[in-house]
Amino acid sequence: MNRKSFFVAVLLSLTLLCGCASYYYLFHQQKNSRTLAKELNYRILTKSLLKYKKIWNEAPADFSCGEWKKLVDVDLNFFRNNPDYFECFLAKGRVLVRFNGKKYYVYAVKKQNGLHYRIVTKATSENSLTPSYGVEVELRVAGRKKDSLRVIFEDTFHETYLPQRKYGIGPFVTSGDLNWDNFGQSILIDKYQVTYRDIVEWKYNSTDRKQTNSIDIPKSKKQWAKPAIGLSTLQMNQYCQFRGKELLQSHIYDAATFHPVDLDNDRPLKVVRGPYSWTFRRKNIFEHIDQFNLKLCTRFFVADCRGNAPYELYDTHSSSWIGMYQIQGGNMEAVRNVLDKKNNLILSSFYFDYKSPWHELGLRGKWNGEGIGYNSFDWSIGKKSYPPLGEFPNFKVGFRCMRYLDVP
Amino acid sequence: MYRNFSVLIILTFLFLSCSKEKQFNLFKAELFNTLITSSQLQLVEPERADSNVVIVRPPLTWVPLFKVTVEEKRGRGELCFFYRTPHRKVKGILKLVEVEYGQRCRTVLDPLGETSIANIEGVSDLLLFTKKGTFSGAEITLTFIHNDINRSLSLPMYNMSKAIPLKRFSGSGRSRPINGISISSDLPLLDKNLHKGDSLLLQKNGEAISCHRVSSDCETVDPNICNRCRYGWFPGASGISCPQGGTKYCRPNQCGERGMPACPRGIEHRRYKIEDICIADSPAAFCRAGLRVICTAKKELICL
Repeated sequence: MNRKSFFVAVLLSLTLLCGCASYYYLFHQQKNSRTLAKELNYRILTKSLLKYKKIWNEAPADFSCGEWKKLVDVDLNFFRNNPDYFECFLAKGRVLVRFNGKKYYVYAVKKQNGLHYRIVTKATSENSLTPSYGVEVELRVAGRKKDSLRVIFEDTFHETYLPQRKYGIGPFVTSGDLNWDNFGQSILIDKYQVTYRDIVEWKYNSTDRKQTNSIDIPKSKKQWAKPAIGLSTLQMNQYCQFRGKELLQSHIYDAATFHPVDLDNDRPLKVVRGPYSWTFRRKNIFEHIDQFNLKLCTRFFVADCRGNAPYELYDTHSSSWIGMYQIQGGNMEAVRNVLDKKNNLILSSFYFDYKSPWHELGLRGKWNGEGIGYNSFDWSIGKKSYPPLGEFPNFKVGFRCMRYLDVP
Repeated sequence: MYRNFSVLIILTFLFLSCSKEKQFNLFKAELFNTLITSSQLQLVEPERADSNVVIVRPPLTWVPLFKVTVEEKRGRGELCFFYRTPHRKVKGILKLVEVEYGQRCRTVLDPLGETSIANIEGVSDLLLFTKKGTFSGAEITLTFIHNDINRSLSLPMYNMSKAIPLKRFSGSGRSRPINGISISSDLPLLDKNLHKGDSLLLQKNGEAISCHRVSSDCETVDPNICNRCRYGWFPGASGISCPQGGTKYCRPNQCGERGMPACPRGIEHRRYKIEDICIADSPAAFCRAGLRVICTAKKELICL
């Protein structure tokens, strides 16, 4: 090898070495600045979470939300942990975050389904962290497109806990009273009956179209805060399963509605219980009253209230001792009766006047689980029939779900 | 000549301090970006945390400090955080490495040989704190000296959760750093085919599939995987009084039906002994009218 070739070879090797070193340096520089940019994005995004959480949990009344805003006779609770209402905010709003003296805006990325969120349930995710029900939102910093955070907002509003104690089944009887207890079991119950909004969501996300196609949904969103009616027990069960739950069991309905005499004693010798959810007194307070006080319609919307008082949806007046609503009056409610499969309906509703025996807690009637006509129901208690007042082309049966939780 | 030399020294010093700052910032960013989705934290030696005692022993040794579980594209990953303790003039090293799922941090012999997530050298006087944030372990704080500068790092873990005792009006059984919020930065999007997956534990051949089996003497026979039941789970009556609860099944709940687990009626108020429960017509269980509670050979209460 002559001197010139040697020189060229050395030069080429040096050039290659320099090139490699520069590439390595630049690659790392780029990677490092990416890591730092990602950290900044994540810090901004995590700082915005409390603001998003406030909207999701509290649904402030001052935020205008198109059609939803004009709902009348609907309590504002309807908008809490409500994906439709949240979507309104996500589609419109950008959250201002101040970080290290600078202003940034955070926004939700629009998904393929045209919404800014997607529903997450155990049924739609393989991740064991997934809550029973929530929405996943992809958040991004405006002007910084590279990184985003997928945040799950869990529904923590719509369920209430059934305390662990001794309970009774059905109306109280002095001898042979049937009791049970849920010590060691954590049970969560829907506070409200399932609404059309919930059913629309199920229809949209369900893979089993056969079950959902036949359900009639009111076209106007204004109707969607109403309890969903017209579903068969099979459909009700399917819906509850979609949410990782099951149709509320009748003895658990009793436990949630009978007001305990002594809240501090969870192992009473006798589980004494009365006919109304707002008191533990056993007396029938309406027995000797000739005129129903319409003020009571807020917690006891019976036939006497129809046309005389507003039927407010999602309100919290008709509350049980554990914060379960829509109990006595309103729609009838389907339950699963473990002991007696056929007695599967809570009949207390606006089909009966305030003196009707059907309003007594613990009483159940029979429903064939499908039809909504007069003959689909058995209106008798023992040998005597107590049919609804007036004529109705069909009857409204709502429902709610429950689930067990694996915590102490 | 002397002046030029001084300028060169100042420039070199500035470059080095910038480089040190960069090194720390990068380490901080890598830790923050990785740990933000951690859902579980295990301290290898809990006594080393929250003690205000600088970690120095044994010297020049890779000490595993904690292990975290993070959510990532491939599913769940596990990471171990090590500290190579300093000795005299040799400074320490902090290193976060990826380990195989289920591997214990103590069994990692040489963290240098593992895939590094974050790494910083020139460390001493390390203190580890976990009792900050909303509840213990929701945030890790590291304080140390890095090349003669005092450093403090706070690393929030948004997916950490702990069970909280439920009471009247409670709506959720878990507490998180931001309650009701978790982060799933790289989870796959909705895949409707997953409904047909193996983890769909529903009834097979008319039998309820258990997701947590507990024997009559309160021993866990099959571990609790009820969290994986797509449609939730329900408790049977068998072993209901055990501390970990009794045998549980994936939905649909058909307890009380023929051939199905009996529904739990509770036993506490009757003060029955555990061994007295698995009997025919057990008072601890319900069945549909017309059916009897039966104790099977497997010591399960079913309805027939």
